[in-house]
Amino acid sequence: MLNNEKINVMSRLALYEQKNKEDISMSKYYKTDYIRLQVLKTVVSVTLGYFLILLMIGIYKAEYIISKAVTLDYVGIGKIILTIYILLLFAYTIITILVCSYKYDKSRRNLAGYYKFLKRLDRIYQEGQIDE
Amino acid sequence: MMNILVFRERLRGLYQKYELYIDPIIKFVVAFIVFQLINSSIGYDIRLKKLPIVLLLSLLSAFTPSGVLILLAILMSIGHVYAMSKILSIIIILIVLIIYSLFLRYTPKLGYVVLAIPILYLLKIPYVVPIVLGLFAAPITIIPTSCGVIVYYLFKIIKDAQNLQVEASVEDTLQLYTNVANQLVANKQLFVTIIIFACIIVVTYIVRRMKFDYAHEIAVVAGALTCILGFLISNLFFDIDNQIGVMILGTLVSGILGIVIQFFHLALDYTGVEYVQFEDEDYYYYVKAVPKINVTTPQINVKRINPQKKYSMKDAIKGRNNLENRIREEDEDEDYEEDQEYIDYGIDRNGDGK
Repeated sequence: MLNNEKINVMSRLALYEQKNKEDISMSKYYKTDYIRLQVLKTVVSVTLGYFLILLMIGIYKAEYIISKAVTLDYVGIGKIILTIYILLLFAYTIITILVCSYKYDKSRRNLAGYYKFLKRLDRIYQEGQIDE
Repeated sequence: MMNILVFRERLRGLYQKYELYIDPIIKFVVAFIVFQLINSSIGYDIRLKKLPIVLLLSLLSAFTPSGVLILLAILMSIGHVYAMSKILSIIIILIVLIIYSLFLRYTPKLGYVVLAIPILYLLKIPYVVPIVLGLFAAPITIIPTSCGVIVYYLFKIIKDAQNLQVEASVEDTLQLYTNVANQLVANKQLFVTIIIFACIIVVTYIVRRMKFDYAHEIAVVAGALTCILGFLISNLFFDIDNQIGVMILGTLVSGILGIVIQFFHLALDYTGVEYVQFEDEDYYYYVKAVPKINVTTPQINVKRINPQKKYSMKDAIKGRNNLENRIREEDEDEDYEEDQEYIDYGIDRNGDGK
């Protein structure tokens, strides 16, 4: 026999899962773990982006660098590059932490509704078992 | 005005009914236009310009998420540039990678903005993007908008650089690269455009959040004015040639488009028909979930001269329901559950009426 209430609840659950895939995947993490993972991803992508920018500047100044290769103040340049990198990384990390923690809290709130239907489904199953 | 409202309701009804077919068709047409515009603007590779290939790519984008269209468009552009000059295509790849890893990664849902701006630039109405974004999104969209402007100017510069290109020895290659980089960094127009677009987004956003009647429409006007003023000022002070006539016309068209989009937004931004499938221990379920929205607007307009004749309670309540429904539509947040309860309530009242 088809149980209409059960189908109703299951449809709602499936709809939610279909629409909010991100919430579901987020719910698998603890908040700290989730934020840590996102920060790690950010660090990798910022490093890549910064490296590419440096590469482009390097090629742009290639002629200058080659001509002054011996007299160049490598330590000074290295310090500047490193400082900018650390500042950039710091800014991105802070923003990532703020945004991700907001996103996580929001997804938790959304999930509360989802869990309500899950509980209802559970109750339907338990009632079914009692009937049998 | 009433006619337009009715038309909107009809359109919504039609869309809801045939959403499954309309969506891919719209996506196909959009993709086709995008690819054709890219071809006409930087079509250096004859192979990519062939109609079967364009049709095939459009067909592919019609049935895949919008991210695929963006990727295909970027790949196609790079392919065209590659056919012209390898070094220039490498520059584009590098810059796209930088833009992605530093900016776009954080606003993944707004990737289409980056594509929309260069494409609409070709149609002379890029101003519609910041206006619409200010209307419906948050100021964070400044980031993808700026990226879109950068991408447009990048391709513009590269198109110009093609004329400079000579036989590619290593020195020339370096020269070409320095040239493009110089033009990109020293491009006042690029930076001014980014700033003006950011201003448009912020102004439109602030005005539409204000609490007075027609805030959305006034926001569009404010955005358009900001745009015109911004470009006029940039013209005066920075000595940038902006083609004022084209700009003002484009802004006006953009403003009108913004109002049209705003008008249909409420109608189209609803919870559409959803298809889900799941299973339990006994059955597989293929569920089509249709949200309960009564699309019977014309009934509201029926003027009955002799209401005592055949004007049942049922009709009266139905009309009332429709009216209430329309008020509810103003509330953008439509929930299945709430709808359900609401309709139940309506049916109860119906029973009482009899």
